[in-house]
Amino acid sequence: MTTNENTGLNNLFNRMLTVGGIACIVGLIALVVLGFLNGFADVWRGYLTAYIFWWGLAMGCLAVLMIHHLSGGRWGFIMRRPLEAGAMVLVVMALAFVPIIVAVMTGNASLYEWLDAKKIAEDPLITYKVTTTGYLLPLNWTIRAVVVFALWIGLAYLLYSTSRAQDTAPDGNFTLANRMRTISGIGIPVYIVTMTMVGVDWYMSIDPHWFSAIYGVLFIVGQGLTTFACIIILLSMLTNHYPFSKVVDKNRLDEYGKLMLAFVVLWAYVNYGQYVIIWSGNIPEFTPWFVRRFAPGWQAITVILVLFHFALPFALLLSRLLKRNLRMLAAVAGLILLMRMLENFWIVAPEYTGIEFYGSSIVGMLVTYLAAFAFLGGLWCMGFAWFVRQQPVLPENDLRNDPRAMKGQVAHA
Amino acid sequence: MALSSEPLNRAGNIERKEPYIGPGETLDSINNKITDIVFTAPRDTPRGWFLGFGIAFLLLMVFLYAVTDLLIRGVGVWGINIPVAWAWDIINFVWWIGIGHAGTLISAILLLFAQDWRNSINRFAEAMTLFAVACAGLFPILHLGRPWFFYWLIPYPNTFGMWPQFRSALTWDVFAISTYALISLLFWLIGLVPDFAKMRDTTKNSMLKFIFGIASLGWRGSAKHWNRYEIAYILLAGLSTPLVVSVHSIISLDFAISVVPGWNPTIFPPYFVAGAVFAGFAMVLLLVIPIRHFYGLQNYITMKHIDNMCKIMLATGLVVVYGYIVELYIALYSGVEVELALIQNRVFGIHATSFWALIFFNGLAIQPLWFKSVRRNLPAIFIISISISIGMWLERFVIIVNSLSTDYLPSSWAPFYPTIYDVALYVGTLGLFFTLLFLFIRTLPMINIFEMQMLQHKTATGSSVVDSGVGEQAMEKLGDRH
Repeated sequence: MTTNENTGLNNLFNRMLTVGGIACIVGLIALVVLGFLNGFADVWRGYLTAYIFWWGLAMGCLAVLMIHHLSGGRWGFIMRRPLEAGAMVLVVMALAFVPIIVAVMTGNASLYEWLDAKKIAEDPLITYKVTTTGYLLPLNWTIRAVVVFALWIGLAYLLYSTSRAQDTAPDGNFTLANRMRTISGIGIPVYIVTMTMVGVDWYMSIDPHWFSAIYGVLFIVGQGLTTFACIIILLSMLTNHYPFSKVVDKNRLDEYGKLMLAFVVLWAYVNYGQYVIIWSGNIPEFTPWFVRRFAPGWQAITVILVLFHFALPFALLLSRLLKRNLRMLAAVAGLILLMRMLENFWIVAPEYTGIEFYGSSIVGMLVTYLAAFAFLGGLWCMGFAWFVRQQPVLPENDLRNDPRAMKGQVAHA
Repeated sequence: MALSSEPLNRAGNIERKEPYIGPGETLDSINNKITDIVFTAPRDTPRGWFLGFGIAFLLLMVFLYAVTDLLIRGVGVWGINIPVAWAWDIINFVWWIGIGHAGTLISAILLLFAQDWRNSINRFAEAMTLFAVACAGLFPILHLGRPWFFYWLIPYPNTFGMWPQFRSALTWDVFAISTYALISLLFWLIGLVPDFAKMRDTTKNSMLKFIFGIASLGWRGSAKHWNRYEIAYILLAGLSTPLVVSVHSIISLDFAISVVPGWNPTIFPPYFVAGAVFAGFAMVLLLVIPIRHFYGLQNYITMKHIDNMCKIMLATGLVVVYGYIVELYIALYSGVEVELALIQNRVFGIHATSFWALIFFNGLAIQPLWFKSVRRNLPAIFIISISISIGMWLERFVIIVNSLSTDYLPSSWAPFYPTIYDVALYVGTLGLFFTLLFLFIRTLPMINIFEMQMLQHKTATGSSVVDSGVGEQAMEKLGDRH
């Protein structure tokens, strides 16, 4: 691997750093300006909403990486290093979560209704959740958040460092590969359980009166979909450069396309299941969530999601021809990412516009959401570009999954 | 490609993948081994087969008795009451339908994922699916009250202006289950056609030659036949795949659309599907372990197969346990009176034993499967599979009876106790299932002959030792686009 062959990738990651830096600064300025114009309540809300996407992407990278270690296969080999870097971005995302912890600990009620002392006293359900059980006491909430971040970053770091050690491991030593498999086997249940809890803590509790058992799964499936869409887009950028140009072929594209299709269907399945159960049950505890999303304004977004988050990508991704064409596949992935962005907004923001005494407007929320999205996205890209350069872009010693190893061509010692 | 396709490392060490077929098998030995079981002369049938079939047939007579009595006296012979208007009948229905799901998953999803290990177990698992669906379908019909009018559930033009109520979950079941049964049957039959031809060509008995000749639909094994066969098979796999998910989702909605506390958690559809696959694999293992022992099929159903099935069982089992935890967690979090009362009743109430037994049989008993040594230990797996079968039955009991017996109105609460007729009908369907199964393994090739032969060929030539995709196609590079 000469430096010459590497310049392409280097330029790409440099560009990522620059674009990320600019987005970060622009987003931050926009947030501050919007805060002064529109009130900081919206800024907090927009920030928490945009956090789902970028933190979710890092979480998705961790989850997909663990699935790859468990299942094996070459689709994961190609993307292992980017996935490891993406998972390590959790460190950056943990830092980006600090402002939210500060807001909760200082009792900023524009984020969560249950921080409002008056509501704690008057609303029996909030009393139950905060005072009686102590579940939503700010301190307990914070302790849980710190613990889950420690677990996630611990998992990401273990996989990242073991993977690095594998690069220089003596030949024929599968202990490290097996160790990563074990870590992932334990990590997947940890991921699922903590994601469910965090979904409730951070997002479901925005409306403390509502609950739904599948909420955590909606997040898990969403993160998987975002990650596969991002992988495809990243692949479209990487594939022209060595060494990716040597290992990516149409079969891999087909696999990524199928996995993305599976998640598109899964997303529709869990959402539709939730909808049928809640809407046909018609019980006052559950239905308000959908009532808000069928309200004027939100209704349009709901319909857009049905059509472009599910129907169109589903129909397109059925085609084998499309899945084997990188440009078309990347275009569909782009559409899906756009829809993911909108869906994340749709999952959280209606809870804020629905609040009686200080409701945000959709437009107000959307603008701050976009600003926070740019800020956090900038941070994400910078973190990713930094971490991905710490290791060779393809694993060096993964004899189980490396197609070059299978052809007997591992010769880059 | 003439290059070695095993993952070589620089030191020349090879990590061999365990093949899915035992050593020393040839194309002929596979054909003979599988067809011999069917072609054995009636008087040479193993005694064990007669014993098993005899017991199953006895139980089938119990079934006949239970159904006859039910038709004469009505559903009052069961222990059902108000509010527990559904109990064992629907529990058994869901239990049987769930068991069928492993067969569909093995035949359809594993085919789409190009998993070689499905080859030796798919025929068998598909048959299990069909028989389980047959048992399942009986329960909602028998629960109708006037089962002889069951066809009123089907939308057909008639003179008295009857039309099914499409908002009723019962009508959804009719469509879900009949579609499922039909597609499963087609899938099974199409897969059998090339094997029927093999049977036709192998047998020396002119009567059997005639029967298998008709069943094989004129199959001559020409390239054209194989081409059409592959297309039809993959299309049916595509059709079956959504069925794996949809059938049990619909069944979960049977409950969820009723507003009974404990029946409407939004997690129900995926949680039911995982439970179905879980129970199904447990049943496959319960059947496979003795059969491979008695018929000496260790070369076809290897320990690697069993290991893989155990892994799927563990994964789906963990999803099911996740479902239990989430239900409790969300109910506690909600703080809603009805939800809290539900949890109270489930964990400490009159039927609490069933809940704790469920946690033991489905939650704790599967944890040893994390270890490879357990996944390769047949007695342990057999016991765990029995435990799962009991656990999954209890799960439906907890959901159905626990929730119904303590609904919204405390004054109407009533416990449920089964009668002997509940038990007889359940045991009777076990008789039906095993009778059909014993007939199947005696009269049809229970392992797919030609797929095993293809697997043997691939293994012998080395092309299946690594993951799929090493063929010429994989070398087709992106750089080729102009």
